Amino acid sequence: MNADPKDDLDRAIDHTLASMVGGEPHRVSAASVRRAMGESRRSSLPVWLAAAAVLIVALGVALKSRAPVAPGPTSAGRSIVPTSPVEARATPSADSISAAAVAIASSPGTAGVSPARKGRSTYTTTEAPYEGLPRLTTASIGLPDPLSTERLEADPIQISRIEIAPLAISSLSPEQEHK
Amino acid sequence: MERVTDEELVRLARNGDPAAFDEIVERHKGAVFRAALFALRNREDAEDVTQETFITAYRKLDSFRGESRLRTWLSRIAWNRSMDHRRRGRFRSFLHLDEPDAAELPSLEADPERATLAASAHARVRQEIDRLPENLRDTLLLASAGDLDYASIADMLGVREGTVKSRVFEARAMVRLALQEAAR
Repeated sequence: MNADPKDDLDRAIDHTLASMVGGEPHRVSAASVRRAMGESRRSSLPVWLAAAAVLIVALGVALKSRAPVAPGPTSAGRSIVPTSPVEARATPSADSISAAAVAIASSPGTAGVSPARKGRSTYTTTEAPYEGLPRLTTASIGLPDPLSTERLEADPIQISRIEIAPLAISSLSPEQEHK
Repeated sequence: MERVTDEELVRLARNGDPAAFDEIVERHKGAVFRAALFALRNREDAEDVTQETFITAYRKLDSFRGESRLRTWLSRIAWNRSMDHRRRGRFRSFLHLDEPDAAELPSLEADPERATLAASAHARVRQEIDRLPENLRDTLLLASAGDLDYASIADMLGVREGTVKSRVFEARAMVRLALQEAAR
């Protein structure tokens, strides 16, 4: 150690700093960087492809959801004039069910739509955007059977006679009285 | 290509000359590595950051406007990436720098006894440098490396040049004071 401690300390600090700040990278070189750039480009390609695919699908879904949807022919806001009067019936007859089934099972473009109905103005306006789509139809329901209340003929209720013996104090035994 | 300036290398690399970019890497990888090493204090992570820095630089070469030196620009990329690593806690050893390879260690003393004493003193100084606050230690190490001048370090750290000077002075003073107190 020298007489001047500050000089020694400064030298020690400089010496240590020099050992700490030295050093060269062993793995990094122009070739390694070029190689890494190639790998990075290759590995990032599928990510971009996947991102692009997701974007396209999302755009398609968004556009489809934003497209104007007109109410269908059976919606409440639409006036549908049935070919025959719709009648309420407590239980549809077998004929009416089979008629509905036939209507649903008919061709998709004109499912359940009779020529007379197709000709109506309310239908024509919505025909083009829904061409090819299956439609819900209201099948005509037959006339209801007249409701009747049949008279109930109940059997007369017979209550058999119950015989109750009249209470009598004298009938109690002395033992029972004490209890 | 040794005589070609950095500006010329950048221009050539932008025009698709792969040899020009290779020269940029070879010329500046040491400074970039050391900047990362001071921030991360781990050789492996510093090597990774150095590699990432040059990949980023290649992709962003068009954005280099030449307002700072190429070395400063590269070191700033490395520093920012190192700070990201530091924040994410990806570096393995924060408290101690990796010991340099045996070949890199300076030969201290020929006499084994004196060498032991010198190594002990060396370790003590290093310990005190490690204990410095992060901003002082970073600045001291960057300034000691000699790769960048104070103005470039200030640019890289986002502080004024005067701040860099005062940090270096304060860091050395703190280490010296700690060593003096330990010697009593």
